[in-house]
Amino acid sequence: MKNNLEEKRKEYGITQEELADKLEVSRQTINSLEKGRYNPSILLAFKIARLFELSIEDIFIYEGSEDDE
Amino acid sequence: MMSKDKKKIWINLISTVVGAVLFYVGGFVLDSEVQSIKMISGLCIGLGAATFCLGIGGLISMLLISKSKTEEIEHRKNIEVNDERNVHIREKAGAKFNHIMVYVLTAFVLTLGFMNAEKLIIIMASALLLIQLILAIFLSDYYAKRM
Repeated sequence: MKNNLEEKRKEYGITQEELADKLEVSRQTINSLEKGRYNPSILLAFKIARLFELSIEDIFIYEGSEDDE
Repeated sequence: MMSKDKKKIWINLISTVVGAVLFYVGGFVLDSEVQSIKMISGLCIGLGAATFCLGIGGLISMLLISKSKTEEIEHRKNIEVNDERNVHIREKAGAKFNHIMVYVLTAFVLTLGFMNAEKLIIIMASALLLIQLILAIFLSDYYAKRM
């Protein structure tokens, strides 16, 4: 699943480690999320969206909806 | 009510003492040429050494690392252990391992059969395979009902 996590994180001005600390996950998880190698659980997706004060769809792009368009 | 730290100190202290006693008993008290006593002696030495080392290690780490650093290390450890990606990796690896071990154990039992190994050993190896399969079925059913 594609996402804008890296872009949003840089806009926020925080490192991967700082983001990992805020979300209480490992830095490797943030790295894997940003590279699109790992899809978060719904709980983690909600936590990320809440942290950036955005909706989940603003950060994570479900490819199925791109096909519908 | 004892604090967590005091409990840890007592546990490590008791482990150290028990380990030392077991080691001494295994090494110096149970001194005999009888096979069964030699086995028990070996077991005591092994268990004693392991328990002693764990206890001493725990005591040393509590003395050397300050309380705030311990809390930070504990916090980091909890994050790494409970991190969802790490949990996912562990579960996938465990499932794959189980899958591979079924084939490995089957090959092992067949090899024992072809080598004309003692019946008891073949039965024990087959029992291991059976336990693995039963556990896999039971645990799958257990988690399926709860998720």
